[in-house]
Amino acid sequence: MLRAAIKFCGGCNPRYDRGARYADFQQRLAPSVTFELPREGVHYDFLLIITGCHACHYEYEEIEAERRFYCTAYEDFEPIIREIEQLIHLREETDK
Amino acid sequence: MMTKEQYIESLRKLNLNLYMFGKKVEDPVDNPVIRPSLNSFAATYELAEDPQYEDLMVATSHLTGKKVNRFTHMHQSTDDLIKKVKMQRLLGQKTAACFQRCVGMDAMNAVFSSTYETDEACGTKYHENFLKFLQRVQDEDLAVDGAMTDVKGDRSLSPSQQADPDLFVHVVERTADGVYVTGAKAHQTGFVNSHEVLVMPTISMREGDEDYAISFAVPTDSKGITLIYGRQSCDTRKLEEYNDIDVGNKVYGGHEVLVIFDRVFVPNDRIFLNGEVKFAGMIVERFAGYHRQSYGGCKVGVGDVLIGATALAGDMAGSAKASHVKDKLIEMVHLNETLYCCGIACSSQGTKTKAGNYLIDLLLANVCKQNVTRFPYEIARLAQDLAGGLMVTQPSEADYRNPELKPYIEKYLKGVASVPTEDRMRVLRLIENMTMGTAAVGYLPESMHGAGSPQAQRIMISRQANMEMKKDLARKIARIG
Repeated sequence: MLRAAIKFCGGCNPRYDRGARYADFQQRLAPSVTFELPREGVHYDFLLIITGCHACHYEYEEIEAERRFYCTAYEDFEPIIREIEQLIHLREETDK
Repeated sequence: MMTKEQYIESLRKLNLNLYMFGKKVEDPVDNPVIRPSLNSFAATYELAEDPQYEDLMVATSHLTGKKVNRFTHMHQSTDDLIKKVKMQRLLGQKTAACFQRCVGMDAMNAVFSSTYETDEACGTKYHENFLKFLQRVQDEDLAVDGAMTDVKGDRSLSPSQQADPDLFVHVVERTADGVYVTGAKAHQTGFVNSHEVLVMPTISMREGDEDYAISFAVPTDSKGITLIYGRQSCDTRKLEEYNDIDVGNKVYGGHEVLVIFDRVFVPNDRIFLNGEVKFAGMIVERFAGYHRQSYGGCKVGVGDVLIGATALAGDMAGSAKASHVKDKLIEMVHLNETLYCCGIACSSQGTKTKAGNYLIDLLLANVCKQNVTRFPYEIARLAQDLAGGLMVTQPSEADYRNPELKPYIEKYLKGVASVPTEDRMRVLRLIENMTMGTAAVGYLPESMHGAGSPQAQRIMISRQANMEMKKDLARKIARIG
């Protein structure tokens, strides 16, 4: 099980429905990944940053995470899913 | 921070002395004419609760380190200034109306820095007073109306020269505990939905105007304050039996009121300027600058909705592929994004004030607002061009709900066969609402006169233009002297 944080850009001019895309991530990655809003002092396996366009340049360095994934376009979904699935696989191997 | 529901409940506790259509309004929160404006204001609370918008809607207080609504935040960087504009665009998109909370944010940022500099020069304690007020606003997530525009009487005369001394808000009595003020502020956006009013002088002052150089904050339901609600075109459609399609925007709206101060008491610790005429102009210039920046965000968001509605009207009429339709939509986008460019530009070139908050580039902010006095009109003209005459000649919703008439309306107002006629009627009414109905107040005349009429920006542009440098450049190139 991976623990992930979710962060959205502000959403001033999104090119796709960020909330719906987040729901897609949750659905595809359940039950191997649990998402939550970032909390201070918690170290996450990864941070998923969903931005509505390419203009968001924030790193959100205050959020502690092993990896960071940036979904900046609707089409970014599948490549990110593949990378996270590799992380899940690695975790499962380690846990054996 | 307050939730949307907590905010609405907090307004119920106010005891406003409000009049509309000649009668006292006992319950502004649930009044059908006022409620859409409350809903717009409430969106500033609602979106701050949503993680999808937190990055724009929430900031960290430089006073307490706590999370606060950005509308109560003192901008700490140019990044904060940019996020402010993006937040305003977002709210314009969500409401297609004026959401009213910007004026308080702009007033607070202006008074924050000007009180600091007034104290520095005059040895006063206004900044300390203001910080106490600000921290309460942030901690309790209060809604603040920023009140600048006096009714002004004879424009050729200064405040103290007017035939009626009350045409600019002024001090009428000073006591050991505070001052009493009298006068009126016009065009007060969002006052009815606010907990506090932050009053500022409306123009630069000179010796003799000391009683008029007054800035303070009091609760909106203070004794002596009377409010008269401003009429908007088509406002009574909201009171009709069928009030869905015809209003264009059922949920959101804006409002302005005339605010009368009749011997309103202001305690000493709520005073932020009191007679220091030299600093009245500083407050005016900074507030106007911030508010002129604001229009590069909010009106762009409203423009996004209008452009979308116009494109939908084209889709529904089957005209979307016509080259002139596509070109006019491109022109609308171009104009809208030009305003956004101005809002972002004046923010990115902001600078730190002595008090520590950030001020926009005043020249670029004034250029921004000057464009806002023009482009929304052209965008609205193009919207009306593409919407066609049906926008203003279609039957009423009452006719549409009449079983005998509905089949005729369904049949003869149909555009593309797959689109329900009611959908087409709704989109056309939305365009009507935004370009000549209740929302046009916010999108058009407010774009013209809000944050100062066009000439006010031209005066500022003239002052900031750095003309001598430009002449030097020309002299060098032309090899003169």
